[in-house]
Amino acid sequence: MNIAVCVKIVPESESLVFDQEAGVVRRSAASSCVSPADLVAIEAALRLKKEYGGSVHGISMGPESALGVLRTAYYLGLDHIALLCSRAFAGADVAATAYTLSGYFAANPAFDLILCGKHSSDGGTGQLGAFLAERLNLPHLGSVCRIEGIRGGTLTAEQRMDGKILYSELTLPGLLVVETDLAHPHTPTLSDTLKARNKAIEVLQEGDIPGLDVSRCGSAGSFTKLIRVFVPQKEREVELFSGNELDRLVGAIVE
Amino acid sequence: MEMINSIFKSGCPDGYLQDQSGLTGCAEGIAFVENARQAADALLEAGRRGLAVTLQGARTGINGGAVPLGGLIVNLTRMNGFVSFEWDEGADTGSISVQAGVTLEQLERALAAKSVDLSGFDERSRAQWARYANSDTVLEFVPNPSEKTATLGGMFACAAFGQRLGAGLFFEHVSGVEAVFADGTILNLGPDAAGDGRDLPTALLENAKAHGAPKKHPFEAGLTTGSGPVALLCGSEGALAIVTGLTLRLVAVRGQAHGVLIPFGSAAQIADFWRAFYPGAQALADKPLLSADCFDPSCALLVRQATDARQADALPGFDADGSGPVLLLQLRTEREESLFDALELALSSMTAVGVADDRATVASDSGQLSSMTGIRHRIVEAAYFLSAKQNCPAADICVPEDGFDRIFSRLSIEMAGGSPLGFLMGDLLTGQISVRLLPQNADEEAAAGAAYARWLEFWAAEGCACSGRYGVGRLKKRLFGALSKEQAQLARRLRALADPKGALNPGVAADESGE
Repeated sequence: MNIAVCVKIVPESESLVFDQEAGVVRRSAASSCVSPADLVAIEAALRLKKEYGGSVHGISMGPESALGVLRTAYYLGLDHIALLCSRAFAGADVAATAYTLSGYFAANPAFDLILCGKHSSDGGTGQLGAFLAERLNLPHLGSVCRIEGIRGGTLTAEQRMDGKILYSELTLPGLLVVETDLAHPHTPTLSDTLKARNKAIEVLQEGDIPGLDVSRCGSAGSFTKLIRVFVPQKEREVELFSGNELDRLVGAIVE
Repeated sequence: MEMINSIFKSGCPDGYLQDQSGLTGCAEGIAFVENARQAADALLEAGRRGLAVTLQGARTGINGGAVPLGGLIVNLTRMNGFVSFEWDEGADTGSISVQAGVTLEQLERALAAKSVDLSGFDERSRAQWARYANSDTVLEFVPNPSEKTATLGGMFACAAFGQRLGAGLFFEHVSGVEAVFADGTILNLGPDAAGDGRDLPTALLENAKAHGAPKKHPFEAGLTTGSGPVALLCGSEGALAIVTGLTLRLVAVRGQAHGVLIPFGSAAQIADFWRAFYPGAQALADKPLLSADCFDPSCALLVRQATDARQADALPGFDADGSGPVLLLQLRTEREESLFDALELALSSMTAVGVADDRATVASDSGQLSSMTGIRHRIVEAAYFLSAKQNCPAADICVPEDGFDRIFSRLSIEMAGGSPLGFLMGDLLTGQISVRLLPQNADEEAAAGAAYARWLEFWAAEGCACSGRYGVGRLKKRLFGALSKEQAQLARRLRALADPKGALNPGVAADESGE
């Protein structure tokens, strides 16, 4: 059972820096982390590996600066991590990201299952899984809140849809988008963390992915453009009333 | 004066009569001051009315330092402006001046998100901030007790994490203080590290005599004693002056933070581990060790009692039966190799004392790290929840270098009965132990009082001192007097100089009344 997990490195929400003039999030200034929803997908993958054997691979796309944080995914117990890293991939929307990742998966077809987190904590479109499955012509289940098991090449899972639970089967190879409460990411043991010492991240550029059309990657291949990021200005007015001003208070509420 | 008068008429909302010690006081009025001048006016007005003054920040203290004993409360939470900023790009250091009511959370957020209300900055500070905001550097203020909602003024005045930090002393991270004295004098004080051998009260008295007309305030700049006025005010708990502003030293955040949580069988086993681990950790190139906190099983029991039975495993690292203590190491490494070196060292030290390697966990992800490093905060919160109305003995002590395991072990054995509830935790890096008992009824209160009396004798015999961690306030006043007699006398001499009428924060350590 070879499982791939799509892993995004995102700015930590507490250190997000908005460049109001340029209208973008300044990623270089913020500290980064693995997107929390992807940690859940990693946890789900590791549990499946524990039960059915095989290996778990992390695939990420991002700048070289992501390498340090991406390595922390090794501490969790991943067997291999690949980073798709090129200027040509920068500024990708969800469609261009799915196209680039699909190029990697097409060149590495040995995966039985691909897992994606529900949504990233920065872009948050929640559409990568569906786009990727479509690109790879794989069956997929979204909103998976429980994985029951795998038998005879078929995975059974529960999906949460509009307050109902769907009990579904997926023929492998396939793709799952998992809900954020599917699993609680474990804290790695000291000895597992030390095992990461000798593991390296495979860094791939466009030339390393056969058949990849660069014009369909990155900002050049994106159908959507981020125009501006801004913090909405909230305006609140506080008026204090003392205990002997009840009439004025009532008047103000009525008004 | 209109401000003060109108507030006096409106009385004091109940919430301001308490802090997180569980104690409740009384007051005749409250003044929410917005600058040093208003604080001085409030002090003078209170003086004219013969009222004592209790200072308050966010009331997050756990020893009752902000609980009023009558008189006027001067609350500083509306003094929450950022005043100036400097950044030395070459040295990757900086400083920021803030009003005392700015919280640690607000400061951290501003520095990390590089977003601050610039209205208080002059042109120079704005330009410096703009340069910083456009850089990849992130600055931080190193002293960091776990309670983020505490005001920086309160943190400084109470030396909230104790004077001894993993990285130097608390006051070394503060380069200037704006202080309002009982006579209404407002002074901007800086550190003055050049010592001339005089002790500080002597220097202050001679200063007071030396100046002719117009007579200068004894605390005014020109002190040449070893630890300057900034050090003096740090931990003085408002007994000398109201700290209304601070200039904080900032350093660039380097590398990544990690937490390592190791369950042990006993406190003695932790001590053996520490003897094997600490010298090697100090020899590592990056010096990655930031802190080393050990938590007694009583901490897990307390949190279970205070929260919900469903959260039985609420504190990470503890076994379900909570049978042994847990050690939390916090590391910061610039290179991953340094992390692995530190972890290898921890692993070999664990093996040397017979701890299984699969029991330790490492958090590098921010969510897991925050869960790990939040242990101390959750224990203090749980204690607040259960502090009830009884008399809760509290102690934070500095222990001799060779006494940590002996003292921690004895307290751990006594806490093991589980009644009365309480917590016991220690900081191996700075040699401090904190213990609280939280009696829930009169019988438990008597048992707690007897235990506390025994411990006081034991600590005195062991050569322990009272630690200023979490402040001294009202709950630790007895401990301060018993274990740190010289410091208590010094504090009283200084108070007599700074506040001869004893109007500021009556009942705190430096005050002789209210024993």
